[in-house]
Amino acid sequence: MPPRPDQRRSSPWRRRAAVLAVPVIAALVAGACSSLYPPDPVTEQGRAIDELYNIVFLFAAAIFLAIEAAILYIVLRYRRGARDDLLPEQTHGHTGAEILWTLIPFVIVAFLFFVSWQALGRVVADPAQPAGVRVKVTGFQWCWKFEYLDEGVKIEVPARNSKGENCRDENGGPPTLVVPVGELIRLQLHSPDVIHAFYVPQFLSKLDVVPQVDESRDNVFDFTPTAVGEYRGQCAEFCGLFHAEMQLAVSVRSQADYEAWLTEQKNKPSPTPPATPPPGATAIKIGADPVQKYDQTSLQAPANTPFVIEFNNRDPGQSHNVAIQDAGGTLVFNGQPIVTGPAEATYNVADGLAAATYRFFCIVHPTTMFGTLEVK
Amino acid sequence: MATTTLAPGAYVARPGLWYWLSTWLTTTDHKRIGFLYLFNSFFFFFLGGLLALGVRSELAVPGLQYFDNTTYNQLFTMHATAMLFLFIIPILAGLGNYAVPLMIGAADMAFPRINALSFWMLPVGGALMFGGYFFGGTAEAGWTNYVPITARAYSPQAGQDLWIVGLILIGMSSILGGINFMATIFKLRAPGMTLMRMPIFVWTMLVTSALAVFATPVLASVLVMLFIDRNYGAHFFDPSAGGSAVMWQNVFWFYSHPAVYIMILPAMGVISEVLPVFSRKPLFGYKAFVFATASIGALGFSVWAHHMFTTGAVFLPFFAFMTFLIAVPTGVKMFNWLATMWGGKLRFTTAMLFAVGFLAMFLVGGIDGAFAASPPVDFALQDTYWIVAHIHYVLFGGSVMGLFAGIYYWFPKWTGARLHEGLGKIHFAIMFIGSNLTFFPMHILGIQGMPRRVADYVEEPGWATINLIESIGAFILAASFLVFLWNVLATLRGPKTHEPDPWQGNTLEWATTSPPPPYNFDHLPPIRSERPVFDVRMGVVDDPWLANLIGAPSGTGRPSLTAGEHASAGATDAAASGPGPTGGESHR
Repeated sequence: MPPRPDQRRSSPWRRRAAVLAVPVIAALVAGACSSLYPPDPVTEQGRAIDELYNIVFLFAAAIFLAIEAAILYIVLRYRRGARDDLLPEQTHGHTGAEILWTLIPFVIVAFLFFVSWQALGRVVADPAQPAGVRVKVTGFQWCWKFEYLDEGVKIEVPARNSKGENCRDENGGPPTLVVPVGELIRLQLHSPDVIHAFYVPQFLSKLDVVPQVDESRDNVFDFTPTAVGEYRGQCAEFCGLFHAEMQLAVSVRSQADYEAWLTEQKNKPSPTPPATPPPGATAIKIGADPVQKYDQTSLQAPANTPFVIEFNNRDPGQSHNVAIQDAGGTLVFNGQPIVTGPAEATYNVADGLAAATYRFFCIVHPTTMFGTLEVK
Repeated sequence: MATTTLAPGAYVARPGLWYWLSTWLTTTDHKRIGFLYLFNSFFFFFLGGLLALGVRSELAVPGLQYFDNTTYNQLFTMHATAMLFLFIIPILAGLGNYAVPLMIGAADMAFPRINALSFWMLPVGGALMFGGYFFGGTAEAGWTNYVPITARAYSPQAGQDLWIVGLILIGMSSILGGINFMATIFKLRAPGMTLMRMPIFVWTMLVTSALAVFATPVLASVLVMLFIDRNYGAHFFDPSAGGSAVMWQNVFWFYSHPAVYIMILPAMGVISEVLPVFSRKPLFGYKAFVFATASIGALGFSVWAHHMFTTGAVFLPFFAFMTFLIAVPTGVKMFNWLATMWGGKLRFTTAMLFAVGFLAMFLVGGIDGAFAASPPVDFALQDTYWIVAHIHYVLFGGSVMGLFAGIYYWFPKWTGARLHEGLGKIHFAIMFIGSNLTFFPMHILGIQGMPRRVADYVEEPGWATINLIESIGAFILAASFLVFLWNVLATLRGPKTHEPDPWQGNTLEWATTSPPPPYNFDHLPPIRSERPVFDVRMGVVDDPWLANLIGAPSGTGRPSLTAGEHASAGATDAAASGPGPTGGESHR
């Protein structure tokens, strides 16, 4: 609350208002405090963070209330009267008091540092501990991909589904990491492009996904889920155009459900090619050459029928794809995955395009790699 | 006394718009340069404020309503750019520009022409940064400008290069300004003004200047490296060619954390002038305050990596400990301010209200810092709206509150007329309510998991309501500045009283006329404590004042011309390496 210091005299009415204000302020503070608690943690590491948060919060709330109360008290108590022209006592300092209020904050922060340091050991990944499930998480512009390193299972969604939603499957769901409850899950966080961050609010934790050439230097994020359920997550480090839409989900299941899911995944006709060319679809071929060049600058495609783009990236070490935008600059197709040469990819433009002139380009190198696409 | 002989080139009013304009373009008077700083900074403050309203409008309800992703990303990037680099840092330097020579009894800054050059770099740098708008889009990767998102492959637009060049110019302004302040404070103090008798505001400007001089060249170097990476094919930050993506963050924060203190220390200095005057007491624990300021400055260089706890690339315990340690001198300051008011006779002018508002709100920002200092807790909070709340409580609740305390406090010195107290109090009340309504709920959103820098958010329970409250708060906040503008314009048009010392001040600026003559002082009182004017008023010191014999320098157009040359050179560079045929719109 703002101090109300501009009043020179305090009338009984004002005193009554002040008395009334106390419970109102208390209710507000209590309300604010309760909503300042993090969501219930669903991992062991999150629980450690939650416990630490509570300790820090306790000190913070106490210091906040004490000092704001002191400000309010001083402001109300020491107002200068209208005709009061006497100089107050000129105190320049008090060594004892100053040493005391240097020591008190020092002791508090030393304690908070100590408990934080203790908690770190329970939160940060320890490679010596054996992990139950190891997953390579690839965060890329602007979606997630999960590869189960010991199972050969891969979870992917199209970069844009048929409704045009970024990073969603056909049902509108984000890519989902399925893990068993109670086991230590170890994520290798890998990025082929820019920095992202793996963040699930109910884990109370996040870790950056930093691009590295040497995958052994990828960040490692450990968590041990403690509660079965579905948890929402998303990229927390600004990563460009569709950062806000780079969502993910973590589905924590019982051991039995997890095993069943795993078997189902392994028995899936492997792997469901993201670009199953519909029967009779036209195929357009295009390749990329060193350095950052397409081998063609103009392409043709039939209007209103599905077609596929067979993309051959011959540009070693460079990530490319084929994306299409209309004359207004709207992105109508973004070929996924982006592949690092030498590699091939087949992009399925499942809905086809209306007749018009489009611009195709590499989403990674939009200014140097582009051409025109005639759809008629 | 024949005053004009002391200041041969000082401003002498002559009729004509062109003459008037030329005096502003060529001035080397620290007071007029101070005004230029204020004017330029407020221009970018209102521009940045409009961008903030854009951000808050977009976030008021879930979904994309007014802007697409690209525009939104430009909005928040340029909002922070304007507010940090073109408003808070320069305007505090502007307050210092006006006040420091007066407070130490000098006639001007040590290097008046360099002083003018430091100013002229700013509008030019700002124009370059915003100029990107006309070349396919401004920078859009956040004010921290992390690589690789700002590498050419991901941000091809020329606006990104212009942003880099603009910031190099602004950094140059900071460095030159810092050197100038240090030289002024060390060499031009009036007889009797020992270091330990300097006003605390001067102390904070001294420490701020040291920070700027030591840290800003580091920023300049990393900006140049990125510029080379983008335009001449180097790989400093390109992981696929042996560079490091995280190196940018290390070097950037090595500047930008001290920069937080560049943004808050002068505001603390203002508060340390305003509270004693309106409490009618000396500052409690002057020496402790000086040491606390210096140690915040020193510690500020060893905490940069607390912005990088989640990169997995820093030694957490060291940076956690150093960050926690900064709470100690900050706590000492808070207690000293409270002790200054304790037992005083508090007079609640608008300046005092803003000073108390600073205490109430900066406290929140400071306490937030203790959460973020603890690495495990920071894992939960980093890059969420919680951090946005923290930065705004420190920089708005702290720096901006302190700034307005300073403006209301010094306005009569600048113009000869006090700002209207009634309007000022309305301004304060609306601003206090608006800012808390905008910034406090951000804590809740952040801890619930809403990331920062998102154009849209998922519909978690309560998020829409909280965002709407924040957006309403932002418009209330904006309204408070209309009151302020009205107040300033009305006061400037109104009658002038020219009181030399309207608040019964303590420091030397109140010993001269309002506004001061170009050379500042006809006479100086003897300086026997950190409150020379108080001593004179109380009859503690003898009255024969010392004549001031230092002349003011003549005007010159060179600084503004030099800044212009830098601008055209920078723009040519950036344009030469400009966008491809499609500019920045290509990857929509």
